Amino acid sequence: MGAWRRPCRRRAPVAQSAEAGDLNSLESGFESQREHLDDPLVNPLPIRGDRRYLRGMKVLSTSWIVGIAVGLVYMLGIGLSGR
Amino acid sequence: MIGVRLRQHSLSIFFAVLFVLALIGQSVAGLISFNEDQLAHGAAAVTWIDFVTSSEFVVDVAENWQSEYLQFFLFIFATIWLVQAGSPESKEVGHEGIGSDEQQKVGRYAEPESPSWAKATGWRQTVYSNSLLITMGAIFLLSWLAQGIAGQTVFNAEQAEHGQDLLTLGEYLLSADFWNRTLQNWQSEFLAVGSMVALSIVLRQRGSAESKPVGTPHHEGAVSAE
Repeated sequence: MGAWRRPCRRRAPVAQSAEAGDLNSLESGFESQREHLDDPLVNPLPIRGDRRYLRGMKVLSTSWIVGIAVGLVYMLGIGLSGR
Repeated sequence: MIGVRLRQHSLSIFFAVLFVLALIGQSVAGLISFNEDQLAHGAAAVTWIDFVTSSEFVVDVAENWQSEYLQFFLFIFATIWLVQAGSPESKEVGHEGIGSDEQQKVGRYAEPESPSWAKATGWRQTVYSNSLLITMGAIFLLSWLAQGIAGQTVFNAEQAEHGQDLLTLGEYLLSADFWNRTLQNWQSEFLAVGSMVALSIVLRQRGSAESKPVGTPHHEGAVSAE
């Protein structure tokens, strides 16, 4: 099915802090965001073109194709065997 | 990092797990149903291994596979040329067709990170440009063939049991049994796809990639609402 594509949005503690008009919290917002960006669990998306990232996607797609191919060969084999 | 990797592929992994569980469930339920029928006819019950390696099991699996892949084959193909205003499943009205090389980022318009066959010219670019449709179509045809072959075995076993004539594969592919199995699956797939296209114009699911954002006007489709 068609996928709805939306621009990537990230929560912005900076903007929230700016609304409060507090420069200190603005600065801490930057720091907080920087920390989150360094945390792979919060920001797990690797850099575009990362070889390991691309390899993971290729392995996944290949696994699906191989699995489906095995299923088709199995079904055709059983059918042709006349069991 | 394993958790991160799993999260990146959670959608496909989720469906792979569901598929395996459903297939196991089908094999167990199918075995019970088959053995009830065997006992009712005074025949011996079979084991799970015997059942999952029989045409009885294969024909039921294959007839569902072919209809699902036909659904996606047709959906991918139809959405090249046909549109539905307001549906996130469709391109915008006026954008029908295969698009220019520049829009599709192929050949000299390919980006540095584009797949190598998208950068290529000639047959490799043509094949890659249609690779999703080709793959879905091939899986559909092969699973439909598997349904036909396994279905013939099952049908002929029943015919023999009742002392009736056996059918060749060609005769079976023209039989009411084959087309009943085929069309009962197709109708439900076409209904599901059509309703998804139509209902997604006015209905929303917050957070789903298959829906427009909740506040998007009904008349906006996938492209204009981005």
